[in-house]
Order: sequence, then C-alpha cells, then structure tokens
Amino acid sequence: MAIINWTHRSVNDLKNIAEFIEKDSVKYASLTIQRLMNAAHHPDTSGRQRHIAPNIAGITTARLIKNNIILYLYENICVMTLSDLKLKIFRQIDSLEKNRLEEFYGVMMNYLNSKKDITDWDKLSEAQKKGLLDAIDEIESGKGKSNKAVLDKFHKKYSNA
Amino acid sequence: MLTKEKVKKTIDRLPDSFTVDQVIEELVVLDKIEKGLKEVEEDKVYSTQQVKDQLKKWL
Repeated sequence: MAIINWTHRSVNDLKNIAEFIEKDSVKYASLTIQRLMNAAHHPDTSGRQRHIAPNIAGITTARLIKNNIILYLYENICVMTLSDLKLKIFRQIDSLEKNRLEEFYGVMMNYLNSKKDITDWDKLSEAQKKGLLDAIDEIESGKGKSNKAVLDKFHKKYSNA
Repeated sequence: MLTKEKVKKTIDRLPDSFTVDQVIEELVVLDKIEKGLKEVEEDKVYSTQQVKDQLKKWL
C-alpha cells in the first residue's frame, strides 16, 4: 500500500462534501467519507473506474472516479525515502505470481551479476568461452528446454535401467 | 499557476470534437492538480491519521 499524503485542499474538499451530504443524511455523509478514504488507499480495487491521467510535470497521476466524485492521486517516486522504496519493491515482489516471480528473480540475478567483476571469465579456455556463448545464443533464440522436459525425456529413455 | 504550455497540452489531449463543458472540466482538473502539487511542494500535507482525526465526526 502506498503512503498517502493528503493536501490541505483535499481535506477541505472532503469536509465540504461531508457537510453537504450531512444536510440530508449523517449516515450517508459518513459512508461517503469512508468510501472515499478507502478508495484512495485501495485504488487498484476500483478496476475499470480508474483512469490514468496524463503525466503532468513528471508526476504520475491517477484519476479515480468513486460515487461520482473524482479523486486525484499523485505518485512521485522522487520524494520516496529509501525505506519507502524498499517497502514498495518488497510489496510488489510479494504480489507476483510464481511464474512472474521466477522471471523476476532471473532478471534481478542477471542485473546483480552484471555489476560484479567476473575475473573468472579470463581463466576459461577459448573452447569453454565459446561453449558458454553458444549456449547463451541458443537460450536467447528460444532453443532452451525446461528442466522438467529434460528429466521426463531421460526418465522415459532409462526407465528400465 | 497555470501556464500556456500546460493549457495547450491539456487541450491537445481532447478529441477532435468536444463540448465547452469538457474543456472547462479539463482546465479545472489541471488547476486542481497544479494547486495540489504546490501544496505538496510547500509541505502542506496531512498524514492519513491526521485526516482521520479531522474527519472523525464522519468516521
């Protein structure tokens, strides 16, 4: 969940909305305020009602329509603290499904490994280097096989062994 | 404060045909966003807990 900062203007708007509805019904004023505050904290659950507004001044904005009232949400990554950023990354990773999580892990490891000094590469023979580069080319051209496919193949081939 | 450039961009985002109401709505939205961003810059913001305290009458 994002950390939400409410501008003074937005809180005044909420008060005005509540006071207006309260003239007819205190209960509905209360319900409306609760829904609006929940909507700001859970914008993704509103599905099709959520529209991404154009990027303004480098800040991502989202327009959320709830009960015919429009909320404007702003997300500015630049103002996030380091701990906010870590928390956000953790939550996004935590919400990934298994397949995407494995894919993300691969991408992350590639990124982290690319930052390391790989001195062992120079110790390899030309044949070993060529073998590795050929293997990478094969994987990138879609000629790779899953671990399960390989295991199935050899289980079948040597099932009587 | 709105700028000509931002207003032009807002109008550019409209479809080829539109009503006066649509233009006004987009400009009001732009104005609200600009004012909201200015408040954020000036640190005129509340946390959710502070908002809940202010609106506790309805929560």
